[in-house]
Amino acid sequence: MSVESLVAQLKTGLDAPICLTWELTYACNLQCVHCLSSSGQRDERELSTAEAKRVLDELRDLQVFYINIGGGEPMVRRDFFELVEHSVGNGIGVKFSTNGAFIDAEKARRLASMDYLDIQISLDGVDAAPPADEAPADGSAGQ
Amino acid sequence: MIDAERMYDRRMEHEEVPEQEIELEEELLVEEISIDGMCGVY
Amino acid sequence: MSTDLLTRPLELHPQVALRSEPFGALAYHYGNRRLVFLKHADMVAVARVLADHPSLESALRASGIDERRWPSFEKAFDSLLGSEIVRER
Repeated sequence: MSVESLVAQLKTGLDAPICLTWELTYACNLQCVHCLSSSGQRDERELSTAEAKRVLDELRDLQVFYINIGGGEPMVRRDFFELVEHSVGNGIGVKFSTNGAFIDAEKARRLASMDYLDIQISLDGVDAAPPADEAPADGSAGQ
Repeated sequence: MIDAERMYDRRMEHEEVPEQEIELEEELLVEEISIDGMCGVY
Repeated sequence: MSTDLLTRPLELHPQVALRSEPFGALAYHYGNRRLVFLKHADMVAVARVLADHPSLESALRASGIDERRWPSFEKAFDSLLGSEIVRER
C-alpha cells in the first residue's frame, strides 16, 4: 500500500482548480504603461452582474478555494462589493489587486470587516526604473 | 478518462499486503504545498 | 513530535475545507491560507471522523487502520497539527 509521489498522483490532475485568476473588467481609472493586461478601456463584452454571480456559483459547486480578482481596476465596477460579498458568502475566498484609488475610509472599513479577503495594492516607485544596462551601484556588474 | 477511473479504483482497493511491506514502507501521508503567489495578478 | 498524540482528542480546524480528489483530498485552511495534500484515502477517512472519537488512536482503530501503520499516521497528524489543519479539542 505505497503512497506514490505527488508527481505521479497528479498525473490525472485535480477534480477542480485550487484558485482562479479573474480579470473582472478592463476598465481602469489609469492606463499604466506597464500594465500586464493593457487595461484602461472597458470591454463591452464584460460579464453582467448576474453572469458573474453565476460563474461564482459554479466555482462554489466546484469547491474552488479562492479567486484572485484583477483587471483593469476591479473597484471601478459598480457591483464590485456585491460580487465580493457573493463570493465570500459562498465560501470562496477573495484576493484582489487594486491601485487603491477608490479606497476611502468607509470602503476600507467595509473591506476590513469581510471574511477571507486579501488585498494587493499596486504602488508606484518614486523614479522611473533605471535602464537595464546601467551598472549596479555595488559593482556587481559582469557577474 | 477511463485510465483515470481505473487508477482511482486500484488505489481505493484494500488489498492484502505482505507483512514485510507494511513494516518497510514509510508512508508520507501528507504533503504541504506552498501556493503563495501561484495564482495572482502582478 | 509528542509521543502521546495517539491519546489526544483531535478535530479538523473549523476553518478547513476538505475536498476529495482522486488521490485522497486537498485540505485548505481559510485562516492561514495553507494547502495540504492528504495523499491516501485512509488518511482522509480518519481525518473526517476525528471529531467523533475520544482520541486519534480510537479514530485509527475505527477506520480499520493496521496498527503497524500507526507511526506513519501519527507523524502525518502531527504535521497537520503543526500547520493547524487539525487541532486538539
